[in-house]
Amino acid sequence: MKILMPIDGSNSSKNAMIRSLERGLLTGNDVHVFVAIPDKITGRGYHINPDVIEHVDESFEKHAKQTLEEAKGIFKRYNVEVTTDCAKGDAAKEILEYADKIKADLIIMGNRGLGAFSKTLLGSVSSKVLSQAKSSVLIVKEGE
Amino acid sequence: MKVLIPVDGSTYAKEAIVTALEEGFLEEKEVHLITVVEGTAAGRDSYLSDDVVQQILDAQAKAGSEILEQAKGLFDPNRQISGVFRVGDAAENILDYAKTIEADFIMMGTRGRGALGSMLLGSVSIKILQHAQCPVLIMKKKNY
Repeated sequence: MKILMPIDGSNSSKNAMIRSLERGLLTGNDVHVFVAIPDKITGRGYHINPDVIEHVDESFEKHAKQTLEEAKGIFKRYNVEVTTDCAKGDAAKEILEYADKIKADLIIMGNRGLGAFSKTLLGSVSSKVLSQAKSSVLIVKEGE
Repeated sequence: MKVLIPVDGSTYAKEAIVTALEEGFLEEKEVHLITVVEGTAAGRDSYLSDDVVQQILDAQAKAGSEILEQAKGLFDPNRQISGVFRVGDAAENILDYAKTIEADFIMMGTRGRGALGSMLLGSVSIKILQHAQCPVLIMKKKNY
């Protein structure tokens, strides 16, 4: 089974990975871990110094790279093979496009990501992915 | 691995099982079905005769076992599928039973009975997703 796990470096996505690995949900599957990097802060560019924009882009890319490295480390601990990838753009859109590209049989994600308000059940990205996904979605919650 | 599948006799619940079987989500899984008939005749007995209360309870039990039999009929007849029937609040009973059997995940379809047309998940599914202590698999037929 081809499984897509979108992650963003948040505790929720880390928890989703660890809990899925612990429960053996990923063993023997073709797992793709994916990070969407926020796109250039276009539109705001006209009043932001280009150096600042470049700096922001660099730090987004660095964060994505670190997140994927960390994911590889976690998978290695559980002896599960993983493919990692990333793309730039709107998170939900990139995740859905990547799912299309690999024809994912299942998307596994945490219920909350970075920058989400804690009161709602699903973060905006998870919520959009769940409603628009063309496959089944497994939601793994935190702190249980 | 134990999977708990709430069923309510709706086509959505049926479709979720059919899709899960087709797409291999239930292979080598221990399947537990639960159906909950909401409401109870108890508490109304001050103005209902014992006979009437008994008739209501019998009708509920009959409806419950029919729903379970129908869902079991979707599986290979040689397969051992357990099924329980409860009366009361649907989400509460499903969550309670998931804890009792230590389900590895709860599997649900999108839009069970009683949801607004525009909503992906019904109120019971939302409550389950909100309070479940295990991962929740939202079944959607693959559509790439």
